[in-house]
This record gives sequence, C-alpha cells and structure tokens, in this order.
Amino acid sequence: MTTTDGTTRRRPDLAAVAATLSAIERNVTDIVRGKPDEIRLALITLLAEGHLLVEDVPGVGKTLLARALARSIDCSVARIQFTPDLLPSDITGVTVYSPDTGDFEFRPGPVFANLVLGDEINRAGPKTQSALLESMEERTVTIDGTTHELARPFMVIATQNPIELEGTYPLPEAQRDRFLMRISIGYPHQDDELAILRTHGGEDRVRAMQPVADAAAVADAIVAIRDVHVSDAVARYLVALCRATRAHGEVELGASPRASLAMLRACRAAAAVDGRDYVTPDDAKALAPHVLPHRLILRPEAQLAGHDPAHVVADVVDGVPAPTE
Amino acid sequence: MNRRAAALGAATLLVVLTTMPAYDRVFSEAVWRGPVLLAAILAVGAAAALRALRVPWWASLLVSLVGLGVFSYLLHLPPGPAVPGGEQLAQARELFGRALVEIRETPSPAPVLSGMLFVLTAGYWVVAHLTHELLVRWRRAGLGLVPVLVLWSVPLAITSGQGGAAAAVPFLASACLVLLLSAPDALPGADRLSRVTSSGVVVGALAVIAAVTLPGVLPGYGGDAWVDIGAGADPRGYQPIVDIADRLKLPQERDVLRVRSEQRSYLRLAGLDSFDGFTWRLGPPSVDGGSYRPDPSSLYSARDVLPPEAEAASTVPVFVDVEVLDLENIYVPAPYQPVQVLGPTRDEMVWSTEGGFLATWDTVDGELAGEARVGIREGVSYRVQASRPSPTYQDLQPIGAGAVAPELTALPRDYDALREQAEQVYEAAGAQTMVDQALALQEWFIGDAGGFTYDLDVPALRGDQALERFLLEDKVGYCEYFATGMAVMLRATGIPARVAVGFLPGTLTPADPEAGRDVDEYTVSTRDAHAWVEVLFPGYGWVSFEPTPRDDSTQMVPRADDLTPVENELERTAREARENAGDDPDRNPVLPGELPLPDEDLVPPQAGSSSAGTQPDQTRVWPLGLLALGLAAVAVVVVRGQRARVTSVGGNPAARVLTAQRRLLATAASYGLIRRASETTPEVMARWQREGRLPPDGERFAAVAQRAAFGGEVDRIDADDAEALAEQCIDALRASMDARGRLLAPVRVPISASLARTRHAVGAVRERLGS
Repeated sequence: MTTTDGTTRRRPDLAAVAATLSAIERNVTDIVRGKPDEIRLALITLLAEGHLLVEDVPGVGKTLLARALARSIDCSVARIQFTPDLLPSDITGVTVYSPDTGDFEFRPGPVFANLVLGDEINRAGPKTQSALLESMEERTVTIDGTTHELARPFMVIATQNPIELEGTYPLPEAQRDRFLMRISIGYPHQDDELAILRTHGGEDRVRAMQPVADAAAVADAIVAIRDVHVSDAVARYLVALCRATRAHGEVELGASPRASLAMLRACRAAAAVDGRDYVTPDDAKALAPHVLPHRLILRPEAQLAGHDPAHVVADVVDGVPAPTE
Repeated sequence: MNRRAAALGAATLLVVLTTMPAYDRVFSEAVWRGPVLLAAILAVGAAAALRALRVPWWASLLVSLVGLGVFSYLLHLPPGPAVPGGEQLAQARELFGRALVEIRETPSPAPVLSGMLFVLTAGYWVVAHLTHELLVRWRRAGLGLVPVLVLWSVPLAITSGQGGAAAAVPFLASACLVLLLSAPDALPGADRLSRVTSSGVVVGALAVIAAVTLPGVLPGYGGDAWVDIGAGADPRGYQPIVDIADRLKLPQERDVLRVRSEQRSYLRLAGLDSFDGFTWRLGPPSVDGGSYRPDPSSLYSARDVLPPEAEAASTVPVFVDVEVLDLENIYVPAPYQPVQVLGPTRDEMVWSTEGGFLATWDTVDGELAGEARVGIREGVSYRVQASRPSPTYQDLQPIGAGAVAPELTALPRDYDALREQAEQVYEAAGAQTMVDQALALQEWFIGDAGGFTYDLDVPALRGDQALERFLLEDKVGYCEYFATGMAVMLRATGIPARVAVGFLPGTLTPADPEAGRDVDEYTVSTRDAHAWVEVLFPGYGWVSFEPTPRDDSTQMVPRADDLTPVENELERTAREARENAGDDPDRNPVLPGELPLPDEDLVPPQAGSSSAGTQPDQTRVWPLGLLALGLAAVAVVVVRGQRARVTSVGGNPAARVLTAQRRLLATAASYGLIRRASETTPEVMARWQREGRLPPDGERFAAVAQRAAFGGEVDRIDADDAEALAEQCIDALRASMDARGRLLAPVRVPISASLARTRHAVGAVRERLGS
C-alpha cells in the first residue's frame, strides 16, 4: 500500500481485532444500558494497554461496567475492594514460608490478574494506592528483591467516589496520570433507567455472562493496533494539543510528554475500534476530554473561580489548528 | 478575485506580451505594436474580470468575442453607426479577405497593412483570452502555454532574423513564471516527501532539455527559418533551385574557391532542366516523391575520360586548377564541359551526362557505389580539363532546335503572356534563327529595352502569376529571377534551354612569376554564386547566355561577335573605353582585377555555393544536442533508480483527493465560508450540512478526504468519487450563497479576516497589560 508520501507501510490486520472488539462491545452493552460511549472508551483503554479511572457518584454502574467488561473476556479477573486498612501486600501478594517444601513461596496478590477491578480506590491509604499505581506503571511487582512480571493484557479499572470525602485519600495529582483515561458514567437516560429496572430486577446478570473473547485475542489486538498509522500531521497535532495545555493561562501543570504518548496510544486504539487503520485529528479531538483533564493541575485562582480542567481542555481543542491533510 | 488568480492573470498577460518581439521581424514598421498591446491587455483584463464575477466560461467567451467585435469595429473599420449593420459586416468580410491576400502576397518584413493588423490583433485577442481561461480558470498551465507557444514560434518559423538564442529569454522566463505561479503551493503531503518524485524528475528534465535546446533548434533564432517568407530568399516564392539554393543562404561573405587558370571561366555546378513553376531541379522528381536520382546509365566514373553531355563541334580547351577553401558540396565546380579530371579526388567523382554535372560519390574499394555524398570540402584540390563549346555566330545561324528531347522545352503550364512578350522581342530585333532569338532575348534582359534592374533585396515572388509579374511589371530581381525568366521565355517559344548554377569566375589576381604565381589566380567568393541560362544548339552543345544585368558587371555576356567571351563586362567596358580613347591608353589605367567592387554587403542568395551555409549552424547545435542527451541520460538513470521506491504524486489517488479537498475549502473560503483553524474537515462539512449548505454527501467526501490525508487506503475509484463529490459540494455551497453574498465575498472575507486578526492582537495586548 502506498500513501501520499509514496512510502509503503504494513497495514495492520484489523478484521480480527474488529471481530473481537465488537463481540465484547455487544456483550457489555447488553448489561450496561444506555452507555455506549463509556463502553467504547473502556474498550479503547483496554486496547491501548491503559488503565481506566471511573469517577462518579455511587450507583450509576461504575462497578457494573468494570465487571461486565471483565466477564466478557475469558481471562483472570481480580477485584479489590479498597478500604482504609488495606495493605500493599494485600494487592501485590506475599512471600510465605511453606512447611512442606521448607522454602519461602510467593503467593501472588490480586494484581496478578489480567483485569483488576479496584473499587473505591480513594478509600485506601496512600501507601496501598502507591503499590497499585507503581505496578500499573511498571507492569511488574518486586517483592523481597524478586521481580514478578504481571499478566498480559493487564488493565486496572479503578472507581472513585467523588462525593464521600470523609475518610478518603484522593489520588495525588502526580499519580493520576498513570490512568490513561478518566471517565464518568453519568445518570442513565429515563428510558434506559426503565430498562435497567426491568432487566436487573432478578438475579445478577453479570454472573450469567459468557466470555466472548480470551486474553490471547485481546493481547493480539493490542499488538495489532501498534501498526495503526499516525501521520506526521496528526502526530504534530497531538503534540500541539498537549503543549497548548502547558501554555494555557489557567494551568499550573500541563500535560506531560507521557500525556502525549497516552493520546497517541488512545488514538490508535480509537481508530482500531472504529475499524480504521489510521488516526485522524477527530480521534484526538474526541479523546482529549477524557485523556487530558485528569492530568492537569489548575492555578489556584482558576480553581477558586470554579473553572475545571475539562474547560481548559475544551479551550485548547478549540484553539489548536487542526490539520486537514 | 484572489491574489493567486490576480498574479496568474498578470503572468498570463506578461507571457502573451513577451511573444510580441518575435513579430518585430515580420513587420518593417512598429505601428502594429500599439493595437496588439491594447488587444492583449483588453482580452486578458476582460477575461479576468469576468472570472472574478464568477461568470461561466461560455458566457465569458461570448462576452470576449463581442468585445473583440467591438474592438475590431472601432479599430479597423471606417467610422459608421453606433450599431454596426450589414454594411459593416460586409466591410469586415472584405477586410478579412484582404488580409488573406496580404498574408499570402506580402513578403516580410512587411509594411503594416490593415488586413494583416486586423488578423494579428484578432489573433492576439483570441490567444490572450484562451490562455487566460486555460491558465487561470482551469489551472491547466501546460495546456495554457500551447497557444502562446504557437503565437511565439510562428514568426520564428516563417522568417529569419537576427537575435540569437538570447532573444528567447524574455518569453521563456515569463513562461517559467506562469508555470511557477500555477504550481500548487505545496504538494499534498509535501513535508512527507523525502525524495523528489519521479514525475517531477521527468518533467524537470524535459523542461531543462527543452530550455537548452529550444532556442537552438527553433528556426529564426540562430538558424534559418523553416519557411522563410523573407526578402529574396523565399523557396515558396521564386527560387529556381530550391534543392541546392536553400542550403546556400550564406551567413557572411567568404572565399570559397581558389582557381588557377589561363583564362576566365564560369565554374558550373549543374544544369537544371526541370521546372515546376517555382523551382528548377536536376531532372524530374523521382516517382516516390524523393529527390532526383540520376539514371545510373548516365553516370561515368571521373577516372576515365568523360564522354560529352552534348556533342560540340567546336570547342576550346580549358585547364583549371581548383582549390577548395571553404565550401561543402556534392557538386564539383568545374568549367563546362569537362573532359578529364585530375587529382586524387577524381576517384570519388562521377560525371553525369544528364544535367552535365560532376558530383562526389560514395566509393567502396575504389569503386563508385551507392549515393552522392559531400566530397567537396575544405582542402580538396583538383584539376579539370574541359572542352568549352565555342561555336561562332555563323556556326549557329543555321541551327534550329530540331528534334530535341521534349523535356528541354517543357513547362508546367502555358506562359502565354511571356510567349507573346518573347515573340515581340524577337520581332523587334528581327530575330529569325535560334541564336538570334536567344541573343535578342538576352539583350532584352540586360539592355535598356527590358528595363530590368538588378537588386538582391527584393520581395519574394509569390502566387501563380509571379513570373509574369516579375517579367512584365516589377522587373527587379537577381540572377535566379533573370535566368528563370529567360529560360522560361525561351522554352515558351520552343527553344531548348535550362538554368545553370555555379560561380562567376571570381576576382582576378594576375600572374606574377616573381611572387610564385605562374598563372592567373581567381578567388571565388560566395558573392560570385550565380545562375545563368544554357541553350542547346544541336551539334554545338550547350551554349551559355547571360540575362542578368549584375550591378558589379562581373558576368560574361556572349554577343554575336563573341559567343564565348573570356572577359567580363567590366573588362569589356574598360577595353571598349580604351579603344575609343585610342590615342590615350592611360585614360583607363584601372586594371580589371583591381576595380573597386560595388559596396554590397548583401548576401547573394543565388545558387552555387550549396551547403556551405549549414556548417556553422551544425557546429552551434551539436553541443546543445549533446548536452540534452546527457541530461536525458541522467534523468533516465535517476528515474529508474527512483521508480522502485517512489510513485508519482500527480497520479496518486490520495493526492487527487487532497487536491479536491483543498479546492473545496479554498472555494468555500472565497465565498466567505471559512473553516475555523481548529475544525477538521468532517467537522466543517458537518457544520455546513447543519447550516443547510451541503447535501449529506459532504460526509462521504469528508470520510474519503480523511482517509487520503492521514494514511488510509484510497484507490482510483475513491478519488473519482471524491472529485465528483467535491464538485457537487462546491456547487451546493455556491448555490447556498445569495448572489450578493458571493459578489461581496471577495471584499468581505479579507476585511473580516483582518478585523479578526486585529481584534485578536488587541485582545492579546490588553491581556498582557492587564496581567
């Protein structure tokens, strides 16, 4: 295949990826009513090898989304209910003495699963949070001098409750950008809420879900999307977006180069989810409100004025010239 | 009108105007320039204005043609009513008819005649309009330059002139400017192009090759025009011996031969016996349309004694040593008629008893084989022994034409007027015999009776009645005219005659034993090239007659008392003056060879010195050709190296889609529908769709454009589709604007853009001050 620059590049085989994704998407949509965008974002995060922070009020289906996604993929799933007394070793695992073998033996913690659901992550102490966040970034866990590789694919879906501030330890800003995206679920539409009442009245439907894809398929998809083409113009646009957040008047700390990378990966995944093997500026524009805001720290005066990072990102997206070719 | 179109329009005007200097050579006066300039400016201006008003092309063409009509009416027709009627139409038709006649009949440089001016201004108007439409409206730069190229090269192809290749620079430069302005600012994805594309290399190499070779090979610059309608050298007009003569327009006067001989004699190349109305040739053209090929049975190797072409009862021997100084030719200059050739080159010569010429020939192992070739060249020397037919007047008195070959009196048509004139001349002179008639006719030409004037600088004769006009009306010409005239008149009255081409004896340097010159030496220069008449007297051979009243009097005119003179007219008049003076031999001390020649810097375009003139041109063109070949080779190598890696951008479907997108956005912007910088194509298309400006197809276009722009797969069908969709979108956008908005957009858009910029700048300053 040739592009306008006359070079030939390899086209990723997106057919298999698309099949895997649409199966998962359909499966999850059956359970999580009226939230197609959020489901799509979750899938993008999965494909981009990122982690998802779901932040919303209780009862809108944060955990449901996470669980439905986890169940749809035939892979190891672990769930950690974060509490103030949770210890780092409860997450990473411990080394215990085995009387049978007379040796110390590593018992992996829940973080060694493919999909880790971290419910109400802000309820745990900073030390425990850090343990998780470190492993999210490194994809390894080091205990007693031994480094253990985490499973692949590996994705953490953490939920956070912004309302109950009592007894919570909000994630430090500097660590929030370990999450590829932060999304909120939002209240469902009236019709969807009615449907939820009808369908969720009985037994736990998540338990009844059948997996529609396995870990290997997801891992293949993750590898495949690395070939999704990002033209120079789009790459420059991504960088321009991130740099614009740093130059914005209300921003204390803008998006880091890690944010640019995150945008790139998210855009590739988004393109693949749409069945495209190339990234468009529209991908970037659509993802920026989810990938960038939680990485920004506003100036105090802007915070006092009631501005939030989402506005800043909207500003930036509106101000950076988008390439047309 | 956007800035680009304005610049391109100006360049169009410039490139049209730079063709004008080429026409300087066509006209002898400069008054044509004003009307032509005006026509070009008006045509381009009108086309540009109409395009800016978004008038469709056919309406623009219509308006332009009406404009041309009005312009021509005001400029070329006599003043009439404000609204032209049938009378004016008839006048215009008559003017056009006159123009055709003028163009056909007037040699260049021509005076500016009304018909010609009419055609020229109309031509400029049409070309200017066409060029503008092609270049600016349709952005077809390559195609758009074709009409101007034609306009520019026509005068160069039909007239020779001075100027050289440098005179081509303004036109070529302005054409380059047009091409530069027509090129897109950036190729799609230009920043991604790591290499020059192969199509670019090809086009570039072709352009360089054309630029290097075009001025060199284009006629009129440097070389001679292909079809020269110029003065006195028009092969279409009146040139008896095109096949030889058109190679003989000499760039400058130079010495071509040095001849040592006891006596003065014409050096003859050939006798041309076939006349087609304009051209004397050696024999009839061959059946396949090629040039004349002599019958092999009439060819004899020059190693042996040469058989006579025609039996001559009375001859005198002539010995001539010829040294070629600067001449290249097939035909060997020799006195008539040669009996023997001496010297090494004789092995490569043939003698033809048809036309009576010596020519150089291909040899294989010493045997003559194949074709004639140029064997006479600088440094060649040979000696010719000839038996000059020298009958006395009395010898020829009883001789009639008898049963000569019919082709020696053949003419392409009836020259009744000339036959009558010739008979009048015979009658006036009381000439009954063939020799008397020939002498009478010769006298008519060179004497006062005919009223002929010798002039090299005469217009070419053209048209069917050319010969009649020359002989009966104009009576101004040079040797080829006179020789043709006399030969035709002789033939018309049944006398076998032909035109001989060759050289006059040349300038004499008398023998001077002290200086090592045992015999007289003659220097033959290009100005001695000549044509004369030969008449066949059966039994006495071909006898020369001299109808040309040459103004330097170097011709040798046979007279009744001396049919084969050995002195030229200068010497004869000097001798007669001496004899008349009788007792005072010192009255005319001027020796013939030292006589000052008339100041004449014109090149005599007569037959005889043959292909010599082409050599300087050949030497000038071959380095260019070599350079062009080298460039072509480099281009081929580069292209072949790149072909594997690079495909052409021009034909790339993705590039086509992007071009369509750019066109769509630019057109929309020119209507004031501006894409915000942060808007992507799908967004802006969606917005226009929401605003009701676009059909839903806009989305489809946007999808293809995104694919093309950001690395998706686009095939030719997609590209076709996208181009069609873009056109639809443009139409829809145009339709969505009211006429006023469209008209005002060219003003409104820049103003509002600059206002926005100002607002932005003020806001930025205020913010900085505030913080």
